Amino acid sequence: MFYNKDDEFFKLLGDKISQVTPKQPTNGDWDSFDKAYRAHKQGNKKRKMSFLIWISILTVSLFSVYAIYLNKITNEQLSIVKPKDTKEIIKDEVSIAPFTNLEKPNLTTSEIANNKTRLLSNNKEDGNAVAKQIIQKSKIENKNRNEVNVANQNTLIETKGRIELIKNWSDLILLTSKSYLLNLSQPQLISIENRNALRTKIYTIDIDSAKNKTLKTKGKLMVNLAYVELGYLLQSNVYKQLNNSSNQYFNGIGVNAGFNMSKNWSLNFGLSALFFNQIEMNKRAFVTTEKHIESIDTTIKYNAFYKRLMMQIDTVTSEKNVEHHANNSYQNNIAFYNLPIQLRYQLGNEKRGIYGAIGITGTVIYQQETNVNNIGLFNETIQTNNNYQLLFAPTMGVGGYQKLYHNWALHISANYLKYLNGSLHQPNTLQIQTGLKYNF
Amino acid sequence: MKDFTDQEIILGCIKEDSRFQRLFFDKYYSKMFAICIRFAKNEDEAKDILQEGFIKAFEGVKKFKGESSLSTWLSRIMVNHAISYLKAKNKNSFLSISENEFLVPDLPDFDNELVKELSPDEALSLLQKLPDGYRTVVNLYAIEGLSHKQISENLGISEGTSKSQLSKGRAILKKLVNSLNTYVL
Repeated sequence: MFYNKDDEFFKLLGDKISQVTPKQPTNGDWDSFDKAYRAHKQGNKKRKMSFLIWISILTVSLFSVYAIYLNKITNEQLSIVKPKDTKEIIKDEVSIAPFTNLEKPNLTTSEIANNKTRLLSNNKEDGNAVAKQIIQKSKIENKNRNEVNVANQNTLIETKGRIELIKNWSDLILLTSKSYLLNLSQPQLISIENRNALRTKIYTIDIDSAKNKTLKTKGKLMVNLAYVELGYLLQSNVYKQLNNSSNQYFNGIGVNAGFNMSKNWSLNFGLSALFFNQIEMNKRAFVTTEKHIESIDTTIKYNAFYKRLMMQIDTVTSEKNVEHHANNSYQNNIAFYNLPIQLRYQLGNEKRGIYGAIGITGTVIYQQETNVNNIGLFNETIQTNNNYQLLFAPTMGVGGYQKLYHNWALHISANYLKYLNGSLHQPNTLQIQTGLKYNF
Repeated sequence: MKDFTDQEIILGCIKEDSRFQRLFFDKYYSKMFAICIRFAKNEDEAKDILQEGFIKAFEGVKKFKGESSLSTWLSRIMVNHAISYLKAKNKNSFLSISENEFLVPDLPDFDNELVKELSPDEALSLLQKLPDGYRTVVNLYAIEGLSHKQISENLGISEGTSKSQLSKGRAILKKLVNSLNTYVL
């Protein structure tokens, strides 16, 4: 025990206190302590669990608040930056003022490039010196910008990120797909499909976050965090199997959402529905003779999607007949509901080309509804068949788009599909696709 | 029962073996209780401080590197926890007594011999009668041997406040000793 030697009073008092008979521990003391210690440890576990739960709740809350905050900022910025009429931009910027500090950070690279082009053309025509100044400024601003959106550091509104609504973005895909049955000894070609699809993304909501770039480059980099898109698809397939061929016309609608987990990894999931309908009406007239029976079949086909009416007359001669006259109508509605969850690793960028690997949990609900209406001489039968199939076809693939001239891109991919169930498909299929894509 | 070394006890405690925890508890209980009772107002409060101090010790036993003796390490835990305990107990009022409160003039003619006549229990009882703030400073300065600078760092107060608290604590104690002796006489 230490004493302050300078203080005699405390020394004496300390000596006295140290002579207090030490209290010895009893079983009760230990039991009491042990109980408290166990309770404390149990409480720690609960606290840890509680902490994790609260952290999760907090993270979700912060994300929500952040998203709302981003939305607010974006709306403010959009109101400044994105006038509806692009012609007005050119006029205003050239005749009134160059970009202001408020406008800079919100222009995407493509917008700046477009503005620059417009300004250049205006400048040639008008010889406007202000336009030159703007172009020079744009060049400096663009120096460190890549294809993603970059917000400027010298801004009055600090950019945290944004939510952007993109309307009506379309692309056309022309694909030839060859499917092979994977046989260990020899791959066998089982089908060729030419697919032409026009995809229109009606709405795309992009959620971007602004991240600081390096000190060297300064500025802020807009990083896409997530997106939700609503799209419409028109697709025609010319499908040739070994023994038969068919033309199919689909229309479909879908919602797709994705999270960009990192620069290269993204997770996408969605719901899309493809519809195919066809109506056939057959009229059959029979001419009966003693030795043979002749029939004339009239078929009217209507493809609801293709809006095309076809009429077909066949003459059939046969030895036997069971019916004299019959009207037959046939309606076939086929729908595919796709529920894919897609994990994607991709390299490159939209400017030069995208390559990557993909894994899809291919889940398809196949629905076929067939209505057959037979009207005979003595009877009328109506049959409705509903056929549902849940198909699982996990897919792994590698491939990519190589940017070509203008908005064209070359598509090459190889996918391995493993059909886990369903008799319509071969269980192991290698699909090689080549084609072109055009972005409007 | 076999006598275990501190090292063996620590290893047992790290493994959370309750037999070694019991050995550890029994071995240092008396010494740690003596520390806690000086800081506490009464025995029950001392037991609370002691219990929580041991819990802290068991939780932190993995961090014990053997740079000091186990006893010194454990004493530091107890003193620190006693301070935290009293701070938490008093919250806003700890060491924030106004200058005029408990204003007791020092007794220049106090006879130190009166202290010698006190029994150990009486001496402890007098210390416990001090308000928590004064008692803490007196404990740290007079018994634990800390300087005013160290006290100020430990308690988060200025050195002046520490000196002032000690002075007032000493004055109250002397007065209590005087009154006790007067009463006895």
